[in-house]
Amino acid sequence: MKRYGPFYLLLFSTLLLFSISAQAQTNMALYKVITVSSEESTARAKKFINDSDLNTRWGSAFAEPQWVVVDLGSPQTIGRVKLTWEAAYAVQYTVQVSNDNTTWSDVYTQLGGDGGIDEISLAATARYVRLYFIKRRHPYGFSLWEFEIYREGSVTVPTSSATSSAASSAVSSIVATTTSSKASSVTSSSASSTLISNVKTQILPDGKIASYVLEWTRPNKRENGVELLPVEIGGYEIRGRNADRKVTYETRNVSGMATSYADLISLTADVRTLEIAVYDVNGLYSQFVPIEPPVTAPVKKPAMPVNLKIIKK
Amino acid sequence: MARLRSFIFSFGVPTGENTEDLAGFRIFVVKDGQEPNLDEPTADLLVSEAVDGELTFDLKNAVTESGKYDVYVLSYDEAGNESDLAVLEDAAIDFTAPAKPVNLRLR
Repeated sequence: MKRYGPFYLLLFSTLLLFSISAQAQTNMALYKVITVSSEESTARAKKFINDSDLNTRWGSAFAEPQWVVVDLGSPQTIGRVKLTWEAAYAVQYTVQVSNDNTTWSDVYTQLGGDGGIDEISLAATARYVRLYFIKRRHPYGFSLWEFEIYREGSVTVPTSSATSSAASSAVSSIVATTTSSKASSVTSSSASSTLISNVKTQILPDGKIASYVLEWTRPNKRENGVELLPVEIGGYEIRGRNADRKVTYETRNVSGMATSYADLISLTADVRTLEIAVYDVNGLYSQFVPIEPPVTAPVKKPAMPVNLKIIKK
Repeated sequence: MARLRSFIFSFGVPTGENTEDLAGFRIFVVKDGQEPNLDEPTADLLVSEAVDGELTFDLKNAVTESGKYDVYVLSYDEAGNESDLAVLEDAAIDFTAPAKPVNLRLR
């Protein structure tokens, strides 16, 4: 067997480290297959989203919601995404991942976007990444100079702020029943401490689409008071019950990094209460805690245009 | 493919109740009998573009095939709330192109 001297080992390890470092800096979205909900024009085509050129941009139709999907080709570790906004930025949007381009999981939600550059740390593995734009800043639509995806995450998660519109319901609290060890069995259901606090709901004043926004504070301890690290949180499950206490609303699983969730179309008229529970990475669930029914803001329709007439044929 | 030379219509900015935070108007040009897709307007005009309380729009780029069309307009406010649709004419507008010239010959 051939043996390698110290010089070659040093060279090899240096090259390996360089390779790993270079991989961490590579924009995995560059020139990948992109699909979008719409394009404003050929000058604002989807190909400009991931061309590494900050002088070209994609622009959507003048409507909301809109979305962008990047196909990474195969499941990839995703540590960070970077959005470089044009003036037509999203005030509210979610970042979602999927392995089949059909079932999506939310990994990040922004409720108070201010444009510019958003660098978002994530901890996900997926083939498809979707930006789902919910609310735009201007009537023009949504527009991005560039959308980048990186394997390594290295930036601080931007804080998401509450929306400023509509009435909000009262705060509720969630109690977990997980143990301090990594046991797979669920402990007694008697709860003794508040783990997730400040859960609020809002209904956005959009007469066309029923929607709600949930916010909460990420829990930092277990029922017995032992510290609960963010990396130990597997996620949250949100579900809706009708007046007969039956679960009628399709449940949503939200990643452990999230502290908010916006849902546009799934809130049915039959839902009376929303519930949320946290589960850790071993799948141990807390109790589901009901949240007071969201308050529907009155929808105000603007007046119609008047005096429509043909001027010139 | 049919082409429209020019077809301009106008509409007025509403005043009075529920107009304080109007942001703009969306125009929908759809084939006769079809429902307009509110997520895909033909055009989007800002209320700031109005002149003397009126906006105009030329349909020449919106009609690409012969046929009958309906033209709708709605207004929307800063929050994204939309009004009901206002229609340009009660009956669909006929944009049927004339037949091609025939018997072309050189002399």
